[in-house]
Amino acid sequence: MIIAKIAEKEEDMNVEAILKEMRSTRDFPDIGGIAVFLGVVKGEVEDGGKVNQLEYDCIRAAAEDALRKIAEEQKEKWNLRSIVLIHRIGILNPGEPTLFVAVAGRSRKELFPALEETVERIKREVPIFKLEKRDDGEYWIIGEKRVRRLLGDDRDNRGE
Amino acid sequence: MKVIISGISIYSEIIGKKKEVDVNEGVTVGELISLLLPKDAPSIYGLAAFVNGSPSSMDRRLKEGDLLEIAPNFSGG
Repeated sequence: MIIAKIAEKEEDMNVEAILKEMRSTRDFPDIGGIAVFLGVVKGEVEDGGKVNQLEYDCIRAAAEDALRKIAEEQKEKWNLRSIVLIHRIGILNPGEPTLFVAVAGRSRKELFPALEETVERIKREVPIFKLEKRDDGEYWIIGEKRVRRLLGDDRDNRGE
Repeated sequence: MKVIISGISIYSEIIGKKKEVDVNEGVTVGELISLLLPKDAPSIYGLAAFVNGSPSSMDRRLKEGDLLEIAPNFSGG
C-alpha cells in the first residue's frame, strides 16, 4: 500500500484507520512492525522565539509528485510492505500535526533507517514552504535559515 | 507575449505573489529569472523553478500563458 498526498488543514489524517490497515495480517502476513513519525508545530523554537502559528504553502502538483516518488523509491529500497506520507498545509497552531510518515515492514532493522531517511528526503525534495508567525514578527523558513518577512508593504507591485 | 510569474515564500516579497508580465518570445526560464531577481538571491535563498506546476530546467523556453513559479530552498516537515 502506498499513500502519498498533501492534505488541507481541515482534512482528518485518519491515522488510526491507516495504521489499522497497515498492520492487517490478511493483506501483509509477514508484517513485523510499523515505524511512525508525526511532526508537530513547535510552540517555541531554537532561538527562544514563541511561535503562534505556522503557515504551510506548497506547489501542489509538484509536491504530490515528489511525495509519490519518494514513497515508491523508499518502498522498493527498504523492502517495505506499506508506506504512508501525508503532509498538511494551511495555517497550523502549536501542537497540531504537520507531517505523518509511517513505514511497515518485516523488521525494525529496515524500518528505523527507512523512516529517518524518508523524513529527511521529504524535507529536502518536496516543494513545501513555511512562514513562522511569532511574537517578534514573521519569518520565512528557507531550508535551515529564518528570514524576517517585510510587513506592511505591498509586495505584489514590487519589481514592476 | 504574456506569462504569469509567481514568487513563493521569500520570493513573493521580491517579485510579488502573482502577476502577469510581458516578455520577449522565446525567453528562457533562466533569462526571465535573472531579470526578476537580484543576482545574489539564488545563492542566499536557493532557487527552484516550476512551470505550470512541474519542475523546470533553466533553459526551458516559456510559451504564452505559462505560469512560472519561483521558489527558494524547501522547508517541509
